[in-house]
Amino acid sequence: MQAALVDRAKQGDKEAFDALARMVGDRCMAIACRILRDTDLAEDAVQSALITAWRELRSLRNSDRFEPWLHRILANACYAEARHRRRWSSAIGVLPVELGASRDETLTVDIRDQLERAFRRLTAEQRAVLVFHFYVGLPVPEVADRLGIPLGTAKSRIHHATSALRASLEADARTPSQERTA
Amino acid sequence: MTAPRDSDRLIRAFLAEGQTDLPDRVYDEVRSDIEHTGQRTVFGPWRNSFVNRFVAVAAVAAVVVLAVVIGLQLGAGGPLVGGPGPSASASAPASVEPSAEPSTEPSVEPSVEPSTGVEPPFTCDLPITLVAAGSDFHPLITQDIRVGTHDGYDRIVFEYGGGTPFLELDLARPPYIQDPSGLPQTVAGSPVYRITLTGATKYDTETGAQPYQGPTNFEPGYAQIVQFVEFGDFEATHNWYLGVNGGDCLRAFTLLDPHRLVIDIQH
Repeated sequence: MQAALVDRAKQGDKEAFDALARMVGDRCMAIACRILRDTDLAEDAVQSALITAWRELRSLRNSDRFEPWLHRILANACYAEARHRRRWSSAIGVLPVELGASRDETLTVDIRDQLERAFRRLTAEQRAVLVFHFYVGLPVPEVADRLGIPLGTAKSRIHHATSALRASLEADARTPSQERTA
Repeated sequence: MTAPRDSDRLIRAFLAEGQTDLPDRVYDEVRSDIEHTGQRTVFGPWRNSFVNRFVAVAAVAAVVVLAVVIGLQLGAGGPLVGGPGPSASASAPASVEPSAEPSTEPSVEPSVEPSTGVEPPFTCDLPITLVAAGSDFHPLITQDIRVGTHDGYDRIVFEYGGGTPFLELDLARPPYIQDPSGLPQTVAGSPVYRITLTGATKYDTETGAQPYQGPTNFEPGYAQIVQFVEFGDFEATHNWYLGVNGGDCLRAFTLLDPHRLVIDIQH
């Protein structure tokens, strides 16, 4: 069904593209929100990605690959939004990401706070590989494929990003007495 | 100490939290935008059907025949039919920097371009983006980088094998930071644009080859291009800065056979 909508949208059918956007929009929002950690920026990134997708849709060879193709555009839109935010970040305070209804009880407030801080220190490119691997659930070769990066680069980014997050968790788990004796 | 498996579980739980709904107003804005946004015309893909392959071969043959005819005319010293051709209208000024000489041959590029009016109109709305095409999601290796000047615009051309990368062209503000060193550098000209090519690199990490060994800093002294300089080639993201003379509108588009990404700066 999705491929049929893509084919119609390629012919300039705006209704078909609108239906397609509504089919994939929530998933795009979830990915962008997790990469950017900011709802407004995520909305801007998804909007930009969908408009780019409409404009460039005829360059998509395989209509069955619409969503992976869109995710790559979305990742690039997120990088662009992250760069813009970095440019103005000195003047903007960081708001905590909205947890919505999906709050996980296994995460304590401290752990969530540590992960949030560590995650925000990662580059947008590192966050993207984590999101596609841990949240979307893609194996590393597919993450590399989806983001258009070499497999080695994807592995390296995941390694460095997870190491940074693990380090933050270990720092949190360390008791003050352990720190004094270390 | 947190075991890797535990930390992976915590990372998954952490990422599972958060918003998953795109508000209706974003769909409405997208819908409103596409009402007056056309779709880019794409020629190809050639490889998917016999007919398209035949058309591609015929087009290449036509270009070759045209080139031979023009070559014969030039060899005979006769005038070109229809007045001066692109090479005549695009002569480089004498003040071209030595470092730019190998790739500032403006007569090369227009002779292989279609003159069918497929170029998009110039726009002053930034950023300009072009989606990656035909790369099968592998980094594209830069085959050539050229600059040239033409009647009404200066042109930058990136040539690739197998597709074209994602392009973002936007106005840049100082400091201009090199990637990945993080060091600030100067760029001559004003305004300055940042050109980001995602999914492209000069280095083929699998074979160690570097097909493009030409200049990475062009200062050709054209009407608009003051300096066009590489700022980074790192993790399949190729960054360039473009300093121009006052600046006007720009356009970006792709060409096939070979795959090229073209940026024009209007005079």
